[in-house]
Formats: sequence, structure tokens, C-alpha cells
Amino acid sequence: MQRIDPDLFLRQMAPFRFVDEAAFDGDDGIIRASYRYTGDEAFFTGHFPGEPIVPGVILIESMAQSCRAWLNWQIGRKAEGFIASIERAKLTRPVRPGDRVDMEARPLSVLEADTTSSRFCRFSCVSRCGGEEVAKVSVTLYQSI
Amino acid sequence: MHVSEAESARLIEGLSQAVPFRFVDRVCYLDAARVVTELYERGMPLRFADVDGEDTYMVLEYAAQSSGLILRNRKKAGSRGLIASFRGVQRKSHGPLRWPLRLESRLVGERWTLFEFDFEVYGGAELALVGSIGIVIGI
Repeated sequence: MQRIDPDLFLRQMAPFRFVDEAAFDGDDGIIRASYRYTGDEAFFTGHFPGEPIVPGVILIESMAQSCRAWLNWQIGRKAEGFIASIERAKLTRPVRPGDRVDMEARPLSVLEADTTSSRFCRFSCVSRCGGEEVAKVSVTLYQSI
Repeated sequence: MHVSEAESARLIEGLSQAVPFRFVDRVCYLDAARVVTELYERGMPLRFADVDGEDTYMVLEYAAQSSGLILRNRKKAGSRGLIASFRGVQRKSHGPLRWPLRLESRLVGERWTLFEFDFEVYGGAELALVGSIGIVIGI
């Protein structure tokens, strides 16, 4: 298991970083990452007042950041990039303050763009909370290299 | 029907989401199956935003909140809509988003408490993002 330091490989910083730790298991080819929602995150004030729930789009962003950390780790620096597409995402259970979300992501394919300065990579990701699935997404990230 | 500024403000005030996680600035058109909205600006402290400016998550939440306006009269008092799914979301522009954003969402399917919408988001005159969203509501 090779540790991926989010400080070194993610451009996103607090309060918009949703990866506490990440690692890549070369044996099964899976990226494993986690994030604990403390309850202090600013978005809980508005989502929803009096009944805080982690926004589904933040769960998707968190999985995308896990994948992005791996992509950047591969090239050894923080590269620019964005979510190019979400083929499919399912949000199955609310996540609340105090919950720790464990993520697994599998890189499926890397497609070099028409220039050598960028590439696209497709991932299949799942998030669990207490062992129970809360979200999954098939996402393609663009990375400027 | 086209929505006046006063009615738009009332509709936005009625959203379940509040600052800093409210992502609709103006409701331009609204009927039982179609909504057009605008989002004028990003940035803390009023809006929870990515310092990197990538903003895809924000556009997805903007689509969810706008689409949810169509369901406002179908929900039980005090209940909320939650995102159940996304499908076929594609970023059409590779650069930073051009502000303001304008969104059109159409109700294309419903089954029990699950409602499906197709949406398009424009940044200026440029198509920025398209996709489909599923929202489940408490009734």
C-alpha cells in the first residue's frame, strides 16, 4: 500500500478538501481514501438548517478528489483538472456530521487527449459509511499534464 | 410562466437550502414541468466554493435546487428533496465557467416519489454542462 499525501497532490485545500488520507494498493489496483465530516464544515449551516446532511454533490466531489490525488501522484505534482463527465452516480443514504466515509476507486481507463499535454481517466468509485454503501459514481476526470 | 422579481425572491426564500449552500439567484420561468434560473456569482462567504474554481459540484447543486423548484407543491410541508442520482453529466467547456450561469431544467419522468430531469447550463452564450438528475422527495 503506497500512501498518497493529499497535501502534496491535491490543489483543493480546506475548507474545500474532502480527503483526509489516501493510498494506492498496487496489488488490486484500488485507491482507498477516507474523510470524516466533523460537523464544522461551513455547508452544514445551509444544508439543511437544523438538520445537517452532507450534500450529495460533496460526496461526489470527495470521490473525485480521491481519484485526482492518485492522478497527480502518478505525475508527481498538483496538476490542473476538472470533472469532465459523470456517467452515472447514485446516492443511497444520507451522511451526517461525525460520519467517516471510506472510499474505494478503481481506475478503469486512461485516454490521452489529442495533445500530449492532457489526458482523461475514467474511474469507478464507491463510498461507504460504517460498512454500508452511501454513494457510488462512474466519473471521468480531465488532467492537464 | 415568467416570474417577477418579487415572486422569484419568494421562491428562492422557500428553498430548503440556506446560505452558504443556496445556489439560485433568480427564477426566470417556472411551470409544472420546466424551470429557467440564473446564478450570478460564486465565492465565500456567501457561497461555499472551491478555491480552485473548478465548480462542477456547484453547477450540479445549482441544477438540483433549480429542478427542485418544480416539485415545491408536491412535497409534504417541511419535507425536502434529496438528490438520488445523476446520469450523463458532461462538461462542455474546458475552461473556467463564464458567469453568470443560466440553467434550463425539464421534468422528463416520475415514478412514485422519484422525479427525473434533463438540464442544460449555459455560461454566457456557451453551453457549459448538460446532464440528467434524479430527485426523491418526501410526500
